[in-house]
This record gives sequence, structure tokens and C-alpha cells, in this order.
Amino acid sequence: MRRLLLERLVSLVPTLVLATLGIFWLVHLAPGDPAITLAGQNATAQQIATIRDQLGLNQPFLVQYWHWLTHAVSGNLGTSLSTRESVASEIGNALPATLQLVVGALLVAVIAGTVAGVVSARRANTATDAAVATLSSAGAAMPSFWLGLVLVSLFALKAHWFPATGFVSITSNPGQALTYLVLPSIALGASGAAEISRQLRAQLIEILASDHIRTLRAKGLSERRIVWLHALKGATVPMVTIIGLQVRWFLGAVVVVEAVFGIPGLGTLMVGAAQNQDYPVIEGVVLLMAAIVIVVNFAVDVCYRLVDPRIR
Amino acid sequence: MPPACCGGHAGESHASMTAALDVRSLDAYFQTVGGEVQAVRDVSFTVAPGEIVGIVGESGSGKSVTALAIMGLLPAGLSRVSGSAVVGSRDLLGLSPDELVRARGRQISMIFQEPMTALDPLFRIGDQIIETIRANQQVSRRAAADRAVRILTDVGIPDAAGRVRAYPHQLSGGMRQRVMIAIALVSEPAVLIADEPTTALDVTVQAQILELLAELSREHGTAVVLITHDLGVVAETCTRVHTMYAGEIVEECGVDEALSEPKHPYTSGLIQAIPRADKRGQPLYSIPGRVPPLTSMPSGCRFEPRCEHAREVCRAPQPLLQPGGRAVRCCRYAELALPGSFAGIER
Amino acid sequence: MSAVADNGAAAANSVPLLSASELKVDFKLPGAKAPLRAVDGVSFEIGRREIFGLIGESGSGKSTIARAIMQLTPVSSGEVVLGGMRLDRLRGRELRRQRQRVQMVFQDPHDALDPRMTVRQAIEEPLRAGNRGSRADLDDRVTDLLHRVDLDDSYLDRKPHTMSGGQKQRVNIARALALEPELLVCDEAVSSLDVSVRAGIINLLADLQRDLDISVLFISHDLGVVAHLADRIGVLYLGRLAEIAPAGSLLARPRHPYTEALLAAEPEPVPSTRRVSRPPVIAGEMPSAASPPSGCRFRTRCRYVQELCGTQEPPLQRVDRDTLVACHFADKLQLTGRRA
Repeated sequence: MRRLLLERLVSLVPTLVLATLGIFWLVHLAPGDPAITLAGQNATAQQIATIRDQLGLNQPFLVQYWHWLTHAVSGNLGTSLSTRESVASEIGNALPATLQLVVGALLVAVIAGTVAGVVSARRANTATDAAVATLSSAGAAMPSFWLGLVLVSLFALKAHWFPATGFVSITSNPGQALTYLVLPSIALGASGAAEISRQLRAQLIEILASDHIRTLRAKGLSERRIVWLHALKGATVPMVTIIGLQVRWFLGAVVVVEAVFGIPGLGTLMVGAAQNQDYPVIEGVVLLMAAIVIVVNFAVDVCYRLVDPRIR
Repeated sequence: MPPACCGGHAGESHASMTAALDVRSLDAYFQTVGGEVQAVRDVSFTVAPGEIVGIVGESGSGKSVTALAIMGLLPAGLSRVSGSAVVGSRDLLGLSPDELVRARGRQISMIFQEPMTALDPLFRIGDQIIETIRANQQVSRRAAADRAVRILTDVGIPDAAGRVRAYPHQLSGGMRQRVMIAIALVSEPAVLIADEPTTALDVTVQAQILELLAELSREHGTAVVLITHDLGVVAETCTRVHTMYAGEIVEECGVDEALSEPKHPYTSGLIQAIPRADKRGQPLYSIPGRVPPLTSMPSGCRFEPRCEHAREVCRAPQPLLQPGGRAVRCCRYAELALPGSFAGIER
Repeated sequence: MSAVADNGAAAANSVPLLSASELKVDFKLPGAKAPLRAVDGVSFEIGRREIFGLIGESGSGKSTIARAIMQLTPVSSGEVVLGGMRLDRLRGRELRRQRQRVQMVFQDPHDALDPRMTVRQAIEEPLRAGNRGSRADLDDRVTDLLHRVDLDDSYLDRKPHTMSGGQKQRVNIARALALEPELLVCDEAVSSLDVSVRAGIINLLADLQRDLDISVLFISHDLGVVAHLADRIGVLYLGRLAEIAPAGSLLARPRHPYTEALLAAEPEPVPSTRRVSRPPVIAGEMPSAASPPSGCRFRTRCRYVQELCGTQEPPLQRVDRDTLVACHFADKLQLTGRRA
């Protein structure tokens, strides 16, 4: 286990470097000039040039990157080009919302996906199975933003069960926070639920036909125990991989859902920064996201080892 | 001429009084794309407490399907079973799914061929035994844990107290099969079905496992149905043997009789096909042809296409005949003098 | 340490066809420092027109020996000599040329055949690779081989999935014989077949060996099959040979305790009245090849174990004109055989 941790930490560095370098370059390539945006509508060419100088935008791209990297390593992520706030604090403000949303979506995806997967596996090739499969396809096909809009118009604007937009952190007011999280979590997590359900069904069907399950039946165990304890545990290794992939997918889709529901999270922050070519903020968020992905990978690996004794 | 089949089976009159397992007219059908096919037809046999009975046959004989049918382990939507299988005055085939779950492990158990894949790889063997105990009886976890260690010792696993924490992949094939036996017998069922339990094991390990089975059966009075393709195994472990071919029982009698004076050409053919040191240099008898596919079984004797003694009369449906104490599904048995184990061998 | 040469074969037919000397095969295990020695100094000879049986349980190294002889697995040390030529030293084109002198038949008849090739194509393949003659010649040869394995022409255009296990194995044998090998290696070639089908293949192998004058190395865990077919038998335990003897005497009078244990464990399909008494079933299991017992490897399960067995490894020594045994007490022990 220790060796695994070490390996993962070591892989952290090249991954982060590659990710941030890649994004830096892409933003650099994008049309537009942050200096112009900052200078405003009526700025003169002279003013723009001055701002460019101040921000170091005239230097070669790799030099700019190196500056950023050396500062980042010592903990200084710089200041936002648009708001002049420290990038670290901007991210710090935006992070809780995204985290809570992703966790919410994960809960929706895993719980709904597992129940649907188990039910359709146990009743494979029946009407129930077909119904679940149809729902899954629908869930997978629906774009998150569209689903979000539908949910908002139905359950928020029409029925008034939940607020339409906005966000309250769990830490400040748990009860209220939950009402704000329900609809966005469903919007983000629905396609994840569909994917998990589909994959789990396939895994379970295979496992339930295997030799050791037959032994468990011969032992006199109830089908319920066989499915929920043994078969599900057997499916954990492949499913944990799927769930890890889902989390990574969420980090991308979260942008859209935050936009629909007006949640001030990393996605919103990122979109704004991209529009303004606010390099420091973009880099900061990318760094964070890359780190999250690595942590998720590590958690998945740890899970394998916890569940399957043969892998240790 | 001996009387025609009376719908029962050899030894019925006395055995059914005390039989641990009494199977009557078991049929098993499978749903295929082409419709329903019958895999097992009219199988009947009994096993007394403490007795080890063999069912011998090659692939396609229906021996495994018979076992799975009795246990109710055939795939649910795709199969159909009729007949009866009575254990302790309850017909397993008539039980509700819940009652069947309760009967398994407690009244009747089964062990399978591949010890490598038969145990759940993600759980410790001690936990798997404890789980079995607690599924079938009301005992505390503590008591179950103690039972688990004791039964592991009984099945010959060294350092049982330490081994309870092992995972299946840490054990050898022979050890795993012992664990399987422990799991099957820990709730003291009246009947144990062993489906090719030693086929995948080395010969020295096989000998140990067979000896263990015999010993446990003696000690606990467990009735054992031993399914195998190996007549040697049958010879050394069973008292009676049923030969199955193409889904039917074609012969039933004591093991010694089967080996010295088989009455069905298929049984005789199987015996002749076994290579042995004392047959060095002689060609073995190889039964020509193949088992007919389930979808096109002959309506008469199923072995007729491959039998060197076949006559016109064999084309008619063959009932199970019962000449005094044994059973044979061959209308010509009385006229044939079939070679047994010692044909063609210099003494 | 060198073993006394096994020239049981030599005694029968002058120069042996195949000679393996002090064969050692190591496998590198992931994460382990020391390699796993699957075969540890095995020496034996196979004469011309001889069927040599190699018996062992799982973990004995028998399949590794087969692959080492075929040069499918690299030999870590020792020699494999085929008709005077050192096989283990050859590379590239020269190896490929010599390869056709030894052919192999594997355990699983199904896996060995390409499901998309017809029988004709499968048997033809080795012939075409060697550029053996015109189309007509090829066809004749293929048909000839097919008949040799007792299959008729109707099989030529069939695909594997339409055939039974026994028929597939016959095709495999035909294919192995296509290049007219001098030695046929059968690695558990009948183990996955039904009993009645097995008998047919055993008969076939016996006939082929006689008619084609080839030698056969027959590897199996099934004592009955090997005893029926082989002229001489080698018994393997944990990577070393315990005994080499002619089949008849090995069975009637084994000289190594492991051979005795194998014979005692093998169930006999005879009525109880005819069964001879045998020693009790052997205890324990074969230790791991990764950490074999010191001295004699069999000592942890041997009924006759003495102190010497733990300190000194017994060499494979001649005890008789035709028999070699690796046991310190071979001369003193009176072991029980079958059909004495």
C-alpha cells in the first residue's frame, strides 16, 4: 500500500506539469488579448501596451509558463488578471460549491445506478429490465443542461419544491443547502446513474452465472444475500473503475450545470476566466482539477486492494 | 422372461422405507431456440443413509443435469423439472423457492468439480463456513466460528485455527476441495451430492479426498451420490452404481456386479475402454459413434446406433427391466454375455 | 552433480533419438528474488521406435520439459540432443529446420485448431510452409494423413466447430505428422477426452508409432494411460526424476516410494474381490517448487524417510540393467506394485 502511495505521488508531478503546460499553450493560442479586455473599451494602444508589459504578456510563452510554475511550486498561484484577487482565494471561494455538487451527483449516480443495476440484473430479460434499460438510455442521452432546465422548470418554477438557482453551503445551513443541491445533483448525476446501471447489470449477470455463486446457492443462502453481499462485492472492482471515470466526467460537465443553476463554483470561475483569458486563474483551476483526478485514481487503486485479496 | 418394468426401480421395496434420498421419474427439460429439449428422462434411484452410490457416465449423459435438477439449481426461466426427489419425507421438487433455500445446506448439499472457481475469491474461508452455518442454523457468531475451526480440522486441513483467515487463492486445489466439503457437511445434511469432486485433482490428492468422503459419510451417516466418469473411482468408493447414457439410466446394480458382469453393452463398453497396465499392447475397445444430440434422440434404444449387439427389436422404446436386484435398460440383456473387467487378460 | 546416464534406450536401439542431460528450466517470478526452478537437472533418453512415458502430477514440471524439448521454453542449463544435434544451441533458420523433426500434440484439441480453417487447410499448413511439392502432391499427402488418423475424406472441408473432441484431436495428430517428425511429443493429449473417445486415440497412437517407426514422448498424469502405451516410464516429482524403468517392471515392482504411492493412489476399475491390498494413501501435498525440501524432495511425504534423506539429495542411479532410481534406500526397500 505504501509503495502504491509513493508511486502515485511520484506520478503526480509529470501529470501536473503536462496538464498545466498543455492548457497554458492552448489558452495562449486562443484568439483575444487579456490586456485589451482589462484596458477597457476606449483604451489607447499605448495603455494596452503598458498593461501588456505590466502583466509580462510580451515575454515568450515558455518564459511566462516558467514564471507561473516556479511561483506555483512555492504556493503562490498569482493574482487574477480580471479581478485582481489572489487566485488561491478565488479558487478557495469557488471550491466548496463544486465539491458539494460533485458529491451530490456521485451519490445520485451510485445509489440510483446500483439499485437500477441490481433490479435489472435480477429480472434480466423481463419487462422490468426493459423498462430500466429504456430509462437508462434516456438518462444517458439527455444532455445535463437540458435535463437541468427541465428539472428547474418543473420542480422549481412550476411546483416550487426546490429553489431554481443559487447555492448555500452545507457548512452554513445544512437544511437549506440540501434543497439547493437536489436538482443540480440530479441533473449532473443522471447520465452517471444510467452508465453505472448499465455496466453493473452486465457485471452482475456474468457474476450470477459463475461457479462460486452456484456454490453459494447450494449452501442454502438466500438469493438476496447472494446478490447484495457476494455478487455486488464481486462487481466492485470493475464498478469502482467506472465510478472513477464518472467523477472525472463530472468535473467537466459541472461547468454546464453550474451555469444552468447559477452555482458559483469552479465551473463558473473557469468559464469567466476562459472568456477573459485570465491565465493565472485558468492554470490554478487546471492544477486543482488534475490533482483531484490523481487523488481519485489513487482512491480507486486503494479500493481494488481493499476488496480483492488477490491483487495485493 | 423377467417381468417388465413396473414403474419403480431395483431395491425399491426395502430401500424406500429408509432411503435418505428417493428420486422417482425425474425429467429435466431445457428451453432452446428450437423449442424444449429433454436432457434427463425417467431417472429413479435411492440412496440409503451412510451409503455411497455412484452415477457414472460421459459428457452428455445427463449426470450433472440430474444433480442440479435435484438441487433446484438449473437456470430458472430456461428449464423445467418434473418427478420427485424426496429427502426426509419432503419432496424437494415441490418446495417453494424459500423452502428450497432452507433445505439446501441443511438437508441436502452439493460439491462441484472445479475447486479453483467454486469458492468466492473475495471472502476468507472461515467466513464462508461461518456464513453457511448461520444460514442454516440459529447459532451465535462465536459458536459458528468455533464450529468452523473444528470442521476444518475434520476435513484434514493442517493448522485450522490459522487457516480460517486464509483466502481461497492462497490454498491448493486439494485444500480448496476440502474446504468445499467442510462447507457442504458443516450443517450435517442427510444427503451429499458430489459432482466429479476429484476430476480436477492430482491422483494422490484424489485418493485422499475420496478417503475423506468415505470416512465422513461413515461417521455422520451421510448418504452420498458420487457422480463421475471414472469407473476406478466408483469401484473403490461406491457400493452401487448407476450408468447413465443420453439422459437415461441404462444400468443399476452393485459395483462388483457391474464390473465383473455388466448387463448393458454401454457399461461393458466403458469398462473395455479403460487403459490398463495389464492390457499393454492390446488395442482398447473404443465405442464407435457419438452420443445423439438432444434434439434428435432415437425413439427406441438410445444406444442402439452404436451398439454391436443391436437388432431390430432394439428400435422399440426400451423400458427399465429389473431382473432380481438390479436394473438394465436393454431388451437383449439375457442373451448377451458381455465382457467385464477381466476379459482378455491373462490371469 | 551428474546422474548416471540413462541408457535403457541405448541398450534397446543403439543410438538414442533424443537425449536430455541435466536439463534445468528456471522461471523469473514477478516480485520474487530467486527464480522458480521448475525443472532441476532432469536426464533421460528416448530410443528410436520407443514410446517413453513421463508421469507427474501438477507442479512436477512435466509440461515444462515438453516445452523445453520443443525449444518453446528456453533451457536455463543442460542439453537437449536430437539425433546427434544439440537442439538447445540452435537459432533461427537452423532451429526451424530441426524443429520439424519433433512435433507436439497438445491437451486441448479445440484450442489447437484455428476455428476459421478447414481440416484440409489445417493439415496443409505445415506442408506449405516447408514448400513440399505441387498442389496435387499436397492434396495427396493431406488425404493420406487424414486416412492415417482414421478419418475419411468427408472431413476435409469441415471446420472444427462441427467436430467432436476426439475428431479434432485426430486432426491435430495428422497435422503433427505432416512433416514426418521423428519424435512426437504428446502433452496430456487424451486428458480432456471422454473415456470411450480416449481409447480410440490411444489405439491410434499405438498404431501410428508402430507403422511410422516414430518415437513418442507421452506425458500425462494418468498412470493407466501411460502404463498401457509406454515402453519405458519416467516418474517426475517436483522437477526431478524419481525413477526410470520399463513399464512392466515399474508397475509390478516400483523402486521409488513415490512411484509406490502413485500406484497405490490410482483407483482400479476391478471388483473388490479382485483387488490387491495396497499401502495407505499418501499424506500431504507436493511442496512448492519455489522452496523445495532439502535433501530428497520427496522426504516430507515418504513413509520410509530416514535422517539421511534430509541432508543428502539422492542421485538418479542405476539399480538394475534397465532401472534408475533416485533413492538412498532403493536396494533395501520392498515396495508394493500392481499385478505382482
